[in-house]
Amino acid sequence: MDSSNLSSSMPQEGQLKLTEEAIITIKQVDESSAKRSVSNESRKSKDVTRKEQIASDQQGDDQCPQSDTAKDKKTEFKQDEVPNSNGKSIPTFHPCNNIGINDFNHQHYSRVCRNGIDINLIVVGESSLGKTTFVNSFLQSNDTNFRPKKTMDFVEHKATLSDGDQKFNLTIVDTPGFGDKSDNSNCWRPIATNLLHRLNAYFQNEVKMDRETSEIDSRIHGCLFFINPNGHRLQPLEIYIMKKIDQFVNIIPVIGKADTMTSDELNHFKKRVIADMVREKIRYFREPHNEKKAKIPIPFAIVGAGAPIEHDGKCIRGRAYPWGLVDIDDPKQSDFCQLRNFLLYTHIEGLKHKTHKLIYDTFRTEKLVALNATPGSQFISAEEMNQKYISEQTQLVEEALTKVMKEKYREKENNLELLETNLKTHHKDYKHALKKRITALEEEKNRLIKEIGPEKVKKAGILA
Amino acid sequence: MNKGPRHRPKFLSKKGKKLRIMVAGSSYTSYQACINSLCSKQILEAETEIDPLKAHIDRILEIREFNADILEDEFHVDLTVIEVNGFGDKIDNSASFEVVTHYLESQFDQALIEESKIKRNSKFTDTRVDALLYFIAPRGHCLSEFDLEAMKRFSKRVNVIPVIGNSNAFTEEELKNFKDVIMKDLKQCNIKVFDFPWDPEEDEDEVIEDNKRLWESVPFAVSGGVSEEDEEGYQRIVKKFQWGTFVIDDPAHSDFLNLKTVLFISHLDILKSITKQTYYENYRTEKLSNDSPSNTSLSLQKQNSIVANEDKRSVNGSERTETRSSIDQSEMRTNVSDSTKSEELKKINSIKVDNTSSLKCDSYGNTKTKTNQLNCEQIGLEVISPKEFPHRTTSSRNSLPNNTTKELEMKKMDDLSHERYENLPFYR
Repeated sequence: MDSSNLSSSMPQEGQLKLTEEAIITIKQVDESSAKRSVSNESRKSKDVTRKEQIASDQQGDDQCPQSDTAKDKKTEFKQDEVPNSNGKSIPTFHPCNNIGINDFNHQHYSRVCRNGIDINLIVVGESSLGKTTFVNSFLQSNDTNFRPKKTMDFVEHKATLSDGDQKFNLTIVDTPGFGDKSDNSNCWRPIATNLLHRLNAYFQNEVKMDRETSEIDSRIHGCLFFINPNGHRLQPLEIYIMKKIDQFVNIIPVIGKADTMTSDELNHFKKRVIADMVREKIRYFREPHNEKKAKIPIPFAIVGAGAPIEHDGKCIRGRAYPWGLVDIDDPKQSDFCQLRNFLLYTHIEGLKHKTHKLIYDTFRTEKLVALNATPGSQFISAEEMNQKYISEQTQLVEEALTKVMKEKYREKENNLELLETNLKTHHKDYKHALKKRITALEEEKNRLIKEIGPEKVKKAGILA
Repeated sequence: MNKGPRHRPKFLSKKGKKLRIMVAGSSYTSYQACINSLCSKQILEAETEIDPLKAHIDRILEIREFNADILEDEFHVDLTVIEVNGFGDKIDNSASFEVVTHYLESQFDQALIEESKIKRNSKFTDTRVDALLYFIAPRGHCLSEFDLEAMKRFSKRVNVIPVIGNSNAFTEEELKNFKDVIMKDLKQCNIKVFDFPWDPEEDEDEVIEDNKRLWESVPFAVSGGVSEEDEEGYQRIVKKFQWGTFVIDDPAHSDFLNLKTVLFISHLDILKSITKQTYYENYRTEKLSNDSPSNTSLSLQKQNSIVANEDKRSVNGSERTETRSSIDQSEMRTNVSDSTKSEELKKINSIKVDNTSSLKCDSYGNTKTKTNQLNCEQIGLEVISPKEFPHRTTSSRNSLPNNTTKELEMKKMDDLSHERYENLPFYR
């Protein structure tokens, strides 16, 4: 409805502009026939707007009414030229198609019909609350297995649903239930790991140098949390797990096996569940109350369907009890249809927007802050970049200076080496001369001792 | 049963038979509504109001007792319902088993202390639990690990009767499959639940067929509802849906009537006798063999204070017994009571030997008089116990041989009583 309103309002503005231009041209041509031509133009413009409205409702081609107006203009000009042979005729041009913002809705709708809407959901809850049965009912798979088996691992179901032109690429992750063991403190970890893994995959792709634009967005847009239909209040285990995962995904509370409760019990239980979630400050998916839209029956009361049942010639999806027959497609007995409308039509854009802007952005912020704190991170701030540049330049200067110093050092070392060799040879000659002097003095001493005599030498106290 | 006017001796009490039932299950099973429908009263209430200041504190598993006097045309039962509130509702349920097991064993301890006293309290109230209704959540796939562990532990101390709560979540085929899966799991894990024992020689064919039919419908699929009057003016318990009305009294919809019959009419006495002679005796043997003398004295001193406190609170526990036998049997019982008054305690052994045939009559009817309560209990323990044990341990149910020789009977009774502990699965 909104799209049709938008598309219908824009052509009116165009038509108003056209009529103004027509008035200007007519005044320039001939003032005497202005009144008649203005009245005729107003009538024709009304007819054209009606045709365009019909065409936009049917989403057909918009060229026909434009061509009609063009023909009218041409014939009109010819009529004007005949009585006035002296005056000049000024040609005017009119766009044949919608341009600019006027055609945006149509283009968007075409692209959506061609590519399809991606919806990623995960089903979480206690054991044996009908999660797998719900997935089969939602995807309309003809499962003739009368005895549903226990889901033991994360199973990803993919399907493409079509509704006229629209196409939905649906991915539902089925999870094994929790609450079987005595100690259920860690049963939330596989679910949180799966959700974080998908957020991280999108983040890694976003951060890469070469992004893969064709990579499929696998982030979970909504989590169908199946609540135990005990009729009193939320279980402590359910509250515990909701608090653990509500920061990673949009929680949509769903009451599984709601056919175990009567209508009064169910209404009372729904109020209790919402009150419990509000009191425990669990962030489940909700939008500001819009009076125009129908009220959302959160939490949705779901009845799982087994094999199709033939009743009064019809094929009904439901459950056959000894005391009556439950039809899951009946809005009075089950909220299955309302949940399907909620997920596929009315609130899918809100779920995606909240997943991207709130959940993913929070995750991204925390991730970047964590990466910034670790050493060797690949993300550098401007200040760090400047410091890095300065350090590089300093290093270059240091290298140049080192080179110069090395050359000087080498030169001086060579000089010192030469000096050392000279000193060695000089020392050698000096030593040789001293030896000769020693031998000469020894001979002199011996000669003097012989001349004086050994006894006088002893008396004089001169040691020999 | 005698539906006509009954001959009630003067010495019988006007109060009904005492029955103590423990109820365990998570709140998903809606056992409160079921017990309320069973008693036709509002005695258990689901917790709807939580104090916000205390919501963050982990709720404590607490055991509560509620009394109800069930009075209908054919029976009168003084019922005590012991509720384990919050069982299976926590995130970490590991400690839930110990609380229940400790409670069951403490009742046996009190009976053991009272039995060991020199001067026994005549007003002592027997607080042993006769049956435990274990409510299984209506999952539909199989029993959870928690349920299997719980029933395995409790079945060693009490008669466990498995019950599927909120059974209106199933269609007929799903219910049958779920029952088969449950029985397969119980058999695979060697969990012995109450299996409706019968004696092929002494019991009538109708009784045997009833027991077989009841055994096939175990676990009982029940659900709670609201009582209203039918179009014909009869009272019935219903649960109204948009697609139809679920009548709990209707055997095609649930096993409510079967459960009611088992608890209050047909198997009331068997439950009590098995509690005394199988579970209590096993516990007594374990207790006396494992405890050292010093520990025994310490535990006795501790338990004495508990018993002293309970003596003040206890109400007169005399029981009213209902006569099923004919006038002749009642005359024989009066003769027995007259003879026991005149004799001394030392001659109890001679009473056993002389009145063996009359005691058999007592064992059939399970009737006890007020004055001979203690003596009959003593004698009954030795006489009835050999019969009951073979029913539970062996597939072929053997009965006592009918030999006229007294000596042979005594020897064979000793042999059977000697073998009863060896044949039990606990000692294998």
